[in-house]
Amino acid sequence: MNIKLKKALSDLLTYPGRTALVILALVIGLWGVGSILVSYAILKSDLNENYTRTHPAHVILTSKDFDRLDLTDFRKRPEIESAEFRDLSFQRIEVYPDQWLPMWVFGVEDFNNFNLAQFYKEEGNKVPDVGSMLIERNGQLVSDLKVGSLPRVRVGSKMIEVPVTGINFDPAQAPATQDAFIYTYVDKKTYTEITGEVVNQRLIFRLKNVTTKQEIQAATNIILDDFSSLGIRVDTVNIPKPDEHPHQFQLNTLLALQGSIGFLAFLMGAVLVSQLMSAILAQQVRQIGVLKAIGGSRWQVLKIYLAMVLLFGAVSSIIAIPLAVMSGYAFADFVAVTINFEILTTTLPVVIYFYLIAAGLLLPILLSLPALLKGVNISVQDALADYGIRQDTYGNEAGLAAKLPLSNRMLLAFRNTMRRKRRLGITVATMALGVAIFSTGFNVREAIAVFLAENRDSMKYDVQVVLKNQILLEQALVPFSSVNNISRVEAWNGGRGRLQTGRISTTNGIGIVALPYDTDLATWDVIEGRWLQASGETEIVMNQLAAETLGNPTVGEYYPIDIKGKLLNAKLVGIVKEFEIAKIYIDKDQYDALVNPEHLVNSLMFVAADKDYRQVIALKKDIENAIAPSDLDILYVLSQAERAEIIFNHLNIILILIVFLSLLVLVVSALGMASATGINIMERTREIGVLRAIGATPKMIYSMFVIEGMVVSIASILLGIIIAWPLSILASAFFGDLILGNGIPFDFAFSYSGFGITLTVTLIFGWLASRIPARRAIAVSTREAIAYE
Amino acid sequence: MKNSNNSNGFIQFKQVSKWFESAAGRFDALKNIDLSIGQGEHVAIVGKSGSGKSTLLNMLTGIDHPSQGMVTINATEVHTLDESRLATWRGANIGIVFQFFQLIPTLSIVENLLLAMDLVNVIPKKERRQRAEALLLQVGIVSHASKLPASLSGGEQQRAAIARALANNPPILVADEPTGNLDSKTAIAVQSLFVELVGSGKTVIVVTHENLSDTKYDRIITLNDGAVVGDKKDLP
Repeated sequence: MNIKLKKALSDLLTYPGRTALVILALVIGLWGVGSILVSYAILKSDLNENYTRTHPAHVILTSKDFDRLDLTDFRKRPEIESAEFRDLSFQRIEVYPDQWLPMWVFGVEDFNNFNLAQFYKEEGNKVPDVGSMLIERNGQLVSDLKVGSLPRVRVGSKMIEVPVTGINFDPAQAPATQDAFIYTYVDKKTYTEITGEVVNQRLIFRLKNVTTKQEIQAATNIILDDFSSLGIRVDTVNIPKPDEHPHQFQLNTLLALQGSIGFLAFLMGAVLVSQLMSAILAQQVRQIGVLKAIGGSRWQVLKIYLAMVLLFGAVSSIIAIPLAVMSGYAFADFVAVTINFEILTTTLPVVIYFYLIAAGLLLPILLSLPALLKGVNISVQDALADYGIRQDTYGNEAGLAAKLPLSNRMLLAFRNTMRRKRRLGITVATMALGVAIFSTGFNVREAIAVFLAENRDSMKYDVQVVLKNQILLEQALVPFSSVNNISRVEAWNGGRGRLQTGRISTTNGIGIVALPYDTDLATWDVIEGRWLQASGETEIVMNQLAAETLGNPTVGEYYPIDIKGKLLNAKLVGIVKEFEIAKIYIDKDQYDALVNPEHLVNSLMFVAADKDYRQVIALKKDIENAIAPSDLDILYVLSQAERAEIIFNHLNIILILIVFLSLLVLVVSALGMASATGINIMERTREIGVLRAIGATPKMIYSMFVIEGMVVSIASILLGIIIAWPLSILASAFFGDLILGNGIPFDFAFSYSGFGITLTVTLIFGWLASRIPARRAIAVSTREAIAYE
Repeated sequence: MKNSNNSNGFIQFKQVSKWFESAAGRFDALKNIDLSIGQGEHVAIVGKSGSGKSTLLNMLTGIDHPSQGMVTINATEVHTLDESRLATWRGANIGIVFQFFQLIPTLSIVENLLLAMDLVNVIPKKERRQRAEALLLQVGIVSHASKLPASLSGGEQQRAAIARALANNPPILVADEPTGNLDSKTAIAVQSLFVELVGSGKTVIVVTHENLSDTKYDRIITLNDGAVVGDKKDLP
């Protein structure tokens, strides 16, 4: 072995504990960032690949007049890539005894031959028998449905049993586990049998040579004009975001989170290597002098220490990279199951390995280089004259600390902490960053939790029953006359409408909610303007997603809104923040005056008299039982608890990851502190010997180092909390925009429990980081300590 | 590298002064030293603490540069060399023996010698191990070749340090208090080694506090307050 390499290796093996600590920190950091890189490489393209290879529809139209459309001719249009009548109906399915979920029923034209909105066989039949259905595999996670099941399906007042003859995989749908729907697929005949609806009233198609929503909108407008000339009146126009999975936002959040925190963890590990190299160079300063004295040039000496850094990097990479690949795939699998898609990337691009190796080897070198250059540049004379801490680093004055009312021991501990200011600065900065990120993780989690709680608390009703059709209120209430524990019922209405702005054309069927403007059953977080009022003119409020969809219209301006073919000029008075699909809110009376003179309703908001959790659950069950024999055509029944759970499920994975990654960063920074403390103590072995020679007991020495460690911890906590404040605000804003959209931040929230945990964990780490080396220090005899070089 | 016509001595100091500036003011470590040492001489440099012995040694080895004056060794003006060339020149021309041995603690004895040869690269690679073992045999510690320095006694470590200083076959050996940490018996043994090396043609310069009567020096230079106050030559 090359002798310089041998020296580097021998030096590292002389203090195996310290070396192991640094390698561990680097492994954790590289593992973290490596996992991210690997999972990013997989997820970045796989989710989208899963989605796009289904050839999702660019446009979805509904109309009762499609019998006037020749589909074969339509498919021949030059701009059309593919088209199909894929019907969709909303029913309800019993997933467990007495537990019902909304059911989406897709009526498929030809299971054997379709190249639009594709899905894949998973189990059982590829083509359902007539009278049977396929269910999407993710639905099995929220039900006990399987091939051979015979669940009850509620269609209006009808209850039928529909056998399940196959399971398919439809990656284009939002996962059933999160949105609490069951997706089912039937042929056209079965569709009519189950739903009683006429088929071929929903047209989906893909366009050629389009990439943006604007292009799709423009092409669709031409088609709509042509339809109009054929006498086809289109009821709704829906243009999803092209080639983007409905839950892409979740993935983006995860990747952003992973990327930023993981990189920080790795950076801190590399900073730790740099710190250690500074310490090694400081410790070996006389060796450096000797090497230069016996003929070593600066470059030759530098090579020895570069070899050390490379050894760190190489060993860490050998351990971390395979772990990173494994956990990267494991995390990608987890995300794939959560969002319901398949991992398609079986072989990582070679460049990923290249990045990992480069990161593992190069970054520690880059960060250590300043310290290495400084260390080897010392003159032979200065190096040989160095016996540890030089007297002049203390300066000539006793300093501020001497004026403080501290005991001599505390004073010594405090001044000792300030000896190596640069190293102290790096240690405190690294630890503070760990504290800041850990604290930020809790604060962001708290911000999300507060948002969820506000969301939940903003809805004062307990159960919502949504009908598929609008009916008279009296008729809607009949089935519930004997249900107990109802304090009151309020009726809302809802549907689809269109808003036309000066900049873009139709909204493609945005949700309209008509409710009493002064309802006390819900409150909204108004972020601009105000809520609806009895102002005498027609007002609308929209949520942030609707605003984003509509190109951020201006509060105070008037916009034409098309509801059921009737045009209404409405004033936009406010924008609210909520975790919902895009919606526009309008006063129910104004809505009725325009399009609903019979005051029909389709949404009943039940308020429980007894709000105890179990009573509310019982109420929901009673409502379900009341619905069963009735002729109400139900879209869904949802309790607030379920609604909150659905939202929570969307965010839970993010919340878990935030805390986990934050802890990772804190651990790395704590390892850094432990390493720095160990080095400090090692450098002062002779000083310890002198202290003991002049009367200090081992207990005094021990307590001095523990105090030093706690001073660093406290300084780190204080600095970390200060940094955490703006960091948390930024992070809350970032995640708010990612999750809610349209630049809407989560409000900053301070997590007291998080602060407590951060404080406790950091103090414990600080205590351990100083306690363990301190115990080693006092284990050395006075004679050995004084003779130490 | 500046060469000069050095007909007056193998090692030559011409009006060499060295001073240090500090918060306490200027301190003159060496004052106008004129000195000439011939090849193959066995020289002791003596003086009280603070007399300038170590500073003189640093001038000699190039570890430090004079504030004024010239240091010429084997026709090379040492003070004109940049650090990189100085290191290589020093490794090839001057073997240094330190008071506290200064062996690399994490390398074995033979590896310490191999490292010295590796740094200077004047001994062909194929010959290095054999040469290292031969040197260790010469100084009487070949049986400890594969041990770490901490396993050896002080005297053995100093022998190892001498072997390392000889690794690149330099013409000059400089030792700073080489027996300062050794018992008298071991000190005598080390001093005998130096006498042997002089006999083989090396120029050996020793800074010492030791009793000079037990050692056959060709010359004793006495320093006091940075100046040469005594220079006894041709000692029996």
